[in-house]
Amino acid sequence: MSFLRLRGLQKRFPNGTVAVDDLDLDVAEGELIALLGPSGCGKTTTLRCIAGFEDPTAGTIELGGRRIDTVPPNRRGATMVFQGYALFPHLSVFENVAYGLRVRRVRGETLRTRVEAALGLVGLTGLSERRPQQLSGGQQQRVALARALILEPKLLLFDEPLSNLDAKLREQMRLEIRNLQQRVGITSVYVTHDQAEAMTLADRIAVMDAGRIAQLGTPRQIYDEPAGRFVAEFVGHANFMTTTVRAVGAERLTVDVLGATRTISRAAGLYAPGDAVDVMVRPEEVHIRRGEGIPATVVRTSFVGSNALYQLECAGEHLLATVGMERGVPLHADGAAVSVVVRDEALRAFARPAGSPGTA
Amino acid sequence: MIATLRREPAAAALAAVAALGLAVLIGYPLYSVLQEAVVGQAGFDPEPLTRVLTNPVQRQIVLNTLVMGSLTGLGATLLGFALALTTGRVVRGRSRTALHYIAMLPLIAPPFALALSTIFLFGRQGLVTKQLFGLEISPYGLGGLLFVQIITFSPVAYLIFDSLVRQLDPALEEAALNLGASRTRILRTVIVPLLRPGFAGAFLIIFVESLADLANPLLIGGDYNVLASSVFLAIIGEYDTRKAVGFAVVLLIPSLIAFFAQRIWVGEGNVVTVTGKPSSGRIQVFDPAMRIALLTVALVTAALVLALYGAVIAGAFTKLLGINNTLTLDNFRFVLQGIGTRAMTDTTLLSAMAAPIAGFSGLLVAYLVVRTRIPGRAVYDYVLMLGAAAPGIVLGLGILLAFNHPPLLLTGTAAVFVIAFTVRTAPVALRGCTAALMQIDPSLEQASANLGASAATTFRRVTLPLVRRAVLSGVIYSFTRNMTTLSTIALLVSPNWRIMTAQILNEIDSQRLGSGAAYSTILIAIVLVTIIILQRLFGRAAVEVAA
Repeated sequence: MSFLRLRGLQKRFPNGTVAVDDLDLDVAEGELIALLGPSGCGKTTTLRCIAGFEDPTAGTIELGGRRIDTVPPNRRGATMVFQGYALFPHLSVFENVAYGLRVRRVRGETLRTRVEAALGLVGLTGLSERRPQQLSGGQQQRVALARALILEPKLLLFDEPLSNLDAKLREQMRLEIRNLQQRVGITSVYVTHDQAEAMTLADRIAVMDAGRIAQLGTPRQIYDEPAGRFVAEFVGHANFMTTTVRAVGAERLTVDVLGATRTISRAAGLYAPGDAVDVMVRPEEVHIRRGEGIPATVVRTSFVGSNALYQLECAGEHLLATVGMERGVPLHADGAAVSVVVRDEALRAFARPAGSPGTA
Repeated sequence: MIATLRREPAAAALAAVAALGLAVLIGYPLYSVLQEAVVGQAGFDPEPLTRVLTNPVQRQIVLNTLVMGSLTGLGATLLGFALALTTGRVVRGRSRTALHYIAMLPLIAPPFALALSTIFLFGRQGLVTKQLFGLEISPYGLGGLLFVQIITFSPVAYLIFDSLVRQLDPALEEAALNLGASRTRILRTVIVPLLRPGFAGAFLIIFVESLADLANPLLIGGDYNVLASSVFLAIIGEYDTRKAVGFAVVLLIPSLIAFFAQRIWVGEGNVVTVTGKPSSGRIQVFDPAMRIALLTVALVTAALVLALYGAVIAGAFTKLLGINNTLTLDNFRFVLQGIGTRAMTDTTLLSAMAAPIAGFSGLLVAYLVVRTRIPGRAVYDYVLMLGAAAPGIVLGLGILLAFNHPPLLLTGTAAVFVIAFTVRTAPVALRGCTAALMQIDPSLEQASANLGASAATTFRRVTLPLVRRAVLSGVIYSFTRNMTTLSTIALLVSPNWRIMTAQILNEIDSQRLGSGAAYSTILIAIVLVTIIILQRLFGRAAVEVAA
């Protein structure tokens, strides 16, 4: 039973750009869904259509069984946390948070209690008389959150809310937002281009590309079983190799890759023996051994603290390998001869898009 | 339009009101001038226009006007540039603040004040020229006219360059210095190129204002006739409406070209406001020769401005400054016992009525243009800007012609003055409000809607507080300008309403320079006191919003 339902959503701008292209999405009650994608993929436009700041050119939006795409933006019951926070510079923190309640004619003691409670919820007790400009970025972020939460909306919308914060604070706020959302249990749509943010926060992630959803799934599904090369490349790092299909099974393919004939998982698509396919392996699944394995040469070693990155030459392919580091473990030197082990389970094949070189 | 009506019914209603207002108050008067110029008693007859272009006397007037406008534009632009460099890069602290305010002082001078004091100081019997140096120089003619106009309009250039110089990142100058450039070279290769839009903009704005100036050509132009004064004399002296519209149309053309060229080239961003805030930041010091040159220009200008203001006040308190320097209050007695008191109350009342109307008209049109999707919204902007682009005397002539017969017979009523004042000053409020609205991130208004507020609530609780300062600046500007304008109302005066600037013209016409000076002093005092009161009343809150 979906709580937020987008059907055939399309947004074509007057200049002809199609930002959102026939998009369907279902969000369950209490779920936090992240719209993840590069800039220009249509994620923000989708969010703004839900909020009512853009009029979709086609399609419908339902919230709690009621169509809202024809409802004016100020009566949708879907409050938003804006990218730049959009705090009113002429109002105090208290008045910023109270704004929506005052619009709803909440007055006096009730108003004060609820504003204080909302500020308490985000850990800003005692700062209510400050102006937004007098707060740090993280505190402004919390005000924006309190201002949206206080209305107990049916739906909470986040438009890249953490993009103005520095890396450390961003990680902390991610967890706080997740905890708060779980505690309050508000259905949420969260737009971001930061995959780590989407992974940490979301129940499910919709990876978007060119106005469409390229894949919808849990963070684990998105990472382990990407539906296509775009998703595999956008979420996490990936090595790609090109090879030819030998045999096609129900959910698996047999291919020659990394010096062996292997039967590996595959993404949806049409496959036939003799077709060229892309095979992916994540860098952390490329294991370096000193004993038996596929012979490889270290081209360059980089040490990044918790990991070491190795660029390898292996069976005619360039491979990137990530190895977790511990104190005292020596690095392989540039030019060292090593062995590489990759499990068949770590490989995944993708059909090449029609028209690309090597397609039958 | 139908779609807009459905989506934004309130905006559509406002747009309709604005369209009607603009058509009746700006479109119709200007149309009346054009119509009078090409339609005679026997149908189509552009005789007034052909006469201006063929008659040698009238052609000379056109040429005079263009020469005056160009030279004033050039001189005032360079002076404003030098003053802005001085306040921005040479002096600092208190002396910077003092020079900043002195440089802006001519903005609040009523039209006759500077010309009048020029005659007191540098005239045939001038305090400086005759009494001090024994010279016998006539200030009347192009020379005196340029002197007065350059001082009068230099603040316009100063304000433009001042804001540009503040935006100049000193790091650029430091980088040039670091790369081995001399100070002179930095001025030539870094500062001047970066300020280039300022030169074009200042020149064109001042050109337009110089063309529109009526008071100085009348008072100090002597035999040097220009179009604005010719329009005035054709109506007041010769009662020849068709001759007047001929001059008016010819005056309108270069004014509109220069004005809209300035807008297209320079665009938004140079908004003249009455308040200035001192800048901080590092100062790149020029080499000594340049510092001395700039300081000399600045000090001479400051001395002249202060002397000219001083001479007006001195002229008001003496029998006849330069000839009989006996102190007296006779001038004030004469003014206040005559129709001066009426003129003071009438002018203040009419100016105060028009100022808020101008401020909010500017806000209305700015809101329609920036924040709604009304079709053709840019047209509203351009039509309202005509109020500033058209010379005041042309606008006044248009209002005179448009509203002296049914269906809108308003001649002699307060309405013509309020219309003239509003139309003339709303464009400045429009520019200020447009800039302020464009600075407001649309997400603030969206956040308000998202939290449940209606469009009206959003406007009242979010938009209005954030543009309040711009509206207030527009209102103060309008009031000041209304009090001190002559050209817009010169043709509208009637015994029903007395306007101070028109009274000053009368006094000087009747050779009563002392009472002219007394009027001017009273006018300056009213303007200053009003600005101070308004800033006390609203300033603090407005400043808080901006902070």
